[in-house]
Order: sequence, then structure tokens, then C-alpha cells
Amino acid sequence: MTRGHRRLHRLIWPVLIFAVGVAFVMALALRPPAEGTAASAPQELSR
Amino acid sequence: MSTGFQAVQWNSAKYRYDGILLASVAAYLVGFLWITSLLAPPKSNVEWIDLRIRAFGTCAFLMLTFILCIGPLARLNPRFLPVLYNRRHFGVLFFFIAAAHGLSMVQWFAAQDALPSLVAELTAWDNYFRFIGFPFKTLGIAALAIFFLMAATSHDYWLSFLRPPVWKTLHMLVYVAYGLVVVHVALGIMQRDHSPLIPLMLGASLSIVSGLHIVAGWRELRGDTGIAPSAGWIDVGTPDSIADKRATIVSATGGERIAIYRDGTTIGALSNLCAHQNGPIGEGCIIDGLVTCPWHGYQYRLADGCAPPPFTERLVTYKVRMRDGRIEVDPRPLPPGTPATIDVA
Repeated sequence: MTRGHRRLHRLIWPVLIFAVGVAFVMALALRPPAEGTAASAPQELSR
Repeated sequence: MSTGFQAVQWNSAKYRYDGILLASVAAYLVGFLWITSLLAPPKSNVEWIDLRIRAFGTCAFLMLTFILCIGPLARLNPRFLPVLYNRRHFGVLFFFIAAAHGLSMVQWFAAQDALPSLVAELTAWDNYFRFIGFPFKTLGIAALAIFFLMAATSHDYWLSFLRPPVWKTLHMLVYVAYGLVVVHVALGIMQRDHSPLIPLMLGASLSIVSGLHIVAGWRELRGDTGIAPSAGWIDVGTPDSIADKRATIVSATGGERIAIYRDGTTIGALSNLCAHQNGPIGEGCIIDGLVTCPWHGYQYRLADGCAPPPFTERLVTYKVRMRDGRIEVDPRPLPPGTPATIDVA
């Protein structure tokens, strides 16, 4: 890898782990309870 | 080595590797479908399609996790280099499994005459401003588009056409696609399936992949610090400090790395960037009198950085000299293919 690619690599991963990690934790914390899923299911067919 | 665009020739190791790869993927898919259908037998065609979606989806995610670990593992431990050598077929097979996941999803809607529902879900623009309820399939489609681009250009024709730095930048989009996939799963199946296996799989994958990349990346930082040249030359060390048929790697402050090879009493300096995929030439060795890249086996003459005929690749070379019993290298690159070795006998 060129010097530029190594620098880009070092920059991308901390940003990526932070952004994706926050999204993952939020998605886990905010997900609706299992028993409430059926009641709040949308009208249209969804998967 | 290549004539035309056939960089990596078929050999018994590649056949064996591909055989193991295909057998492992088939075993996972069959095992997943068999076990899950035993635990909760599908009652309709739609439920079978649903199982296929999960089988292809989990298989693709595990494959992507493993693929992303190969690069940093090979940087941290050369024992993983044979896996890196064969990574391209792994990546292309992964794309087909991910595409099968996406096509099964379309089939799931089509089997219920509900394709308009899929379109409505993807075009519910208000939902794009929500976090929970975000149209997560869009993230999967965006990731699949990146994977398609990568699979379609995973051939040495495209590597040669785009040139290695552009090709490498394009393929670094896989990191972005991985992030999209993790959020696709977190906002998708993890919202409705409360099995602890899904957050465990996501958390473990994210920790392992990012941990390996961050450690490997920061370890490389030491080699990029560089040495300020003294009167235009960089001190490399005594000839004996370079193992025979191996290299020492140096770089000037802000410059690219230089591989200084020793072949007996001959010393020569080449760019550390292989002409094929910019692999680290200086981490290879001299085989049959030729400097050999550790990634895919491309070979060059130490004397002038040229691949032996009929191959045409050429590397940048650098001037070297002996001064007070020590080797010094001039960090200003010479035109590719310029003879620049010295004899230190």
C-alpha cells in the first residue's frame, strides 16, 4: 500500500468503529420489545 | 507474474483452496437450512424462502467478516499470507452469496404478489428521517452495489486499466460497505428477532474486524515516520545488517518506503510498492535470483527493477552507495528500470 493508503486506512477505521458502534448500540437500546412487535406491525406486507 | 492480464496462474494450491472454500460455504448453507427446518419446520413456500434469506444473509456476513480479517492478519503474521494470496476468489464468491440473499428477498415479496409493498417500503421518504424504522434494505442495496463494483473489477485487467493506486482506493470502499451491512442488520432483523445471537454476531464481528485493522494500521505508523536524509542520503546500516536475500525497509520523511535488498555482495534499492497491487516488496525475498513480492509472487531483477522477459513490469530504483562501511540510499527515485546496484565485496 502507498503511504496515502496507509494514512487513509488509519483514518477510516476509528471513524468507522465509532459511527457504526454508536448506531449498533442505539439500535439495540431503542428496539421495540418483542411482545410489542405484532401490535405495531405496519399495514403493508413487510419483512 | 503476468503475460497480458493473467497475474495469478492456476495451480494445485489454488484449486485446493477454492475446493475448501466452496465445500465450506455449501456445508454452512445446507447445515443452516437443515437445522433451522428441524427446529421450526417451514409450513409454506414463503417460509422456505425466509429460511433461505437467513441462510444466505448469515453466510455472507460471516464471509465478509473473515475476508476483512485476512489483510490485517497477514500484516501482523506472515503465516496468513497464503490466505491473502487466494483472497480474490473468496471475495467474488461472497458477492454471489450476498446477491443470493438480496434476490431471495425479492422472491419473498414476489411469492406473495407483494412487490408493490417492497417498492413502498423503499420509497417511504419520511422514514429516511427516522432511526428505528429507517428503510434498512436501502443500506443493504447500497452495500451490494459496492460489492458488485468490487467483484466486477476483481480481475487483473481492471487492476492494469485503473492502475494499482486507483484500484486500491476503489477496493477500500469495502470498509464503508461493511459499515452499511452492520447497520443494515442492526436496523433490520435485529429489530424483530430478539435472539441474542444476532447482537452477539454483530458485536463480535465489529470488535474483531475493527480491532485487527486499528492494531495493524498503527503498527505501520512506525514505518511511516521516516528518516530525515543527511546531505541527501539515508543511512541504512552495514551490509551485514541486511540478511542475505532479504531487505531492510527505510523511508525518507514524508516519502514512500524503499526496500534495500542484499543478494550476496550485491546491494540494490527498489520501490517497496509492487507494480501489481502495491504489495510490500521489501517483505518478500530473493527466489531464483529474483526479488519476489510476498503477496502474489511477482518477480523483479534486483539489478534494474525490471521483471524478467517476457514480463514488462518495472519498479522505481534508487541510488545506493557505501560510505565508511555503511550503506546509504538516495531517497530521490530514479526512472523505473534504471540499473542502480553496487557490489560491496
